[in-house]
Amino acid sequence: MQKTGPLIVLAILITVLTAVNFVVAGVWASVAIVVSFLAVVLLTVRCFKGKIHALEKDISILSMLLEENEKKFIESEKERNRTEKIISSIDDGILAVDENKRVLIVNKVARKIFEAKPEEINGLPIKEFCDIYDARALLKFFSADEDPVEDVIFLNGRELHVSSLPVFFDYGKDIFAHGERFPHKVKTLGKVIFLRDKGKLNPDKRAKNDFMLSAMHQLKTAAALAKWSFKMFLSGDFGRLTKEQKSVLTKLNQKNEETISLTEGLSNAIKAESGFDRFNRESVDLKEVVEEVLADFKNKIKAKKIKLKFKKLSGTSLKVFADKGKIKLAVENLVDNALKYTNDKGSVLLSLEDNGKYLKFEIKDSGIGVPKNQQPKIFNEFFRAQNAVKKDTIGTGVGLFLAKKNIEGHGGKIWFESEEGQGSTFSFTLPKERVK
Amino acid sequence: MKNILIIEDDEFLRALIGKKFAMENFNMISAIDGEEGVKRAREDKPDMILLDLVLPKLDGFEVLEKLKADEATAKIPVIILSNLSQKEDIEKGIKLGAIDYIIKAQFTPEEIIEKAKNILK
Repeated sequence: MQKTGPLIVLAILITVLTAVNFVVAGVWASVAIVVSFLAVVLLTVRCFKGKIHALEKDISILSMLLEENEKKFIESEKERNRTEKIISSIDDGILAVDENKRVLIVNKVARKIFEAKPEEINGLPIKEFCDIYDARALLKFFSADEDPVEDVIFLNGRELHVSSLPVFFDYGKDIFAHGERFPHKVKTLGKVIFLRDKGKLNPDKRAKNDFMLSAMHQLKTAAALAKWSFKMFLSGDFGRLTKEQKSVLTKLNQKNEETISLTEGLSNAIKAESGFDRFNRESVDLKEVVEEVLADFKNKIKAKKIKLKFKKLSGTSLKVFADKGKIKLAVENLVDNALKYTNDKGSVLLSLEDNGKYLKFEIKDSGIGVPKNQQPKIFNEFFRAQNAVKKDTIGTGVGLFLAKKNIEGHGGKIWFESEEGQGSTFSFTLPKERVK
Repeated sequence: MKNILIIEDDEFLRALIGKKFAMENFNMISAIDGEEGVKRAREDKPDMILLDLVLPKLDGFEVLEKLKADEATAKIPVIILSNLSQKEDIEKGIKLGAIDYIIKAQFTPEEIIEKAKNILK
């Protein structure tokens, strides 16, 4: 292309000179015109030939790219259809979110679990989704953590085995990603969680739980009758009692109160396990909840001469949007354990912290601690550590199980650190109430 | 003397609470199932009703609905006396018109009498 420029100029010069000669030299000049015209034509053709060649090269590259794109589009459509078929044929619930934690896929099984319609949920931020469908226990599966998470949760009357997996996109497998412009790297695309409906797999479980709840109700009624009888005896409604009779009845009454408390704990555990335990949320001041619990345990703290301190923040909102009864039960169980497993004159330190988006509750005791080999089971239902059983034979092993269910059910986290003989620190966080 | 109707299927419990109320100069009327409870309320027009929830024939919630739907019994104060302690049950009872909800295992007869006296003041 670059070489044709001077040739064109030369051809034009010859044409002009020829035209001058034509005037001067007649026929000879017209021959020169023809020759120079041919030269111009030849040179122009040569020039365009170069351009056409370059265009042909570009078109060939473009068509290659188009072909490749079309192939990729067809492949991705096939892949999408295949994925949709696979997802809809899976018996487990699938819930996927994109890298911005917005709902991307909810298959039929998952929609049934949440009782949700596709048009209501696509593109919804996962936090809003969990708020709407009362599924805050799922939030921990969508944390920034890239390791897979597995756990059992209870939702809408179902026991669900949940596992989460982060999804990555590997640029190295993309045909256009090779070369210097796209270095080989991996990007997180979102997360997929699988929900296995354990309640569905075990239809007898609900019947068993219904029976257990009915049995607990009858036990509680019997215990209530005993309580009323003891109280009426002790207040002299059935006549005067001797000192010894009073003492025996007082002890019987105390034992009966323990039975009432056990049946209450077991009923709560069965309800939580059944997933029928729905939360009635309201604005709750966490500081007030802790103070109420401590007031309930006032006599126990005094009787054991426990040095108790509650470090709380002042002048800051300590409100959570939660079911007060459920949160109070979690705090009660943690305080009860700390007092129960701390020796007389021991110490218990409670604190409340504001971590921005979360409120953190902590209770540190100087108690017997949890043996290391038993720590992984501490939140399991009906589990009691061996040293705990030795210290106090009464207990159901549902306190921490319920505390975990109640805290996680509100989108919070619960954990502990402990050393046998040195004491334990139990902590939980709860999302702060959003101020509108 | 104020009349108290207790709708409760457990005979021992009826006897215990009946004795305690009688000692405080109340006149006790009793019904052993939901249907009889509604009938007694309509006929005897008690000053107050103590109502269990788990009952034969008509459960406590159904009884409460019938009592509140009937002009003749709608204004009688009803205290629910039950061992169902779920928040949903308590809220349902109060929503249907009960004036109070007592969980049997959490209260003593003295405390129940106190509540009743306060309501009847």
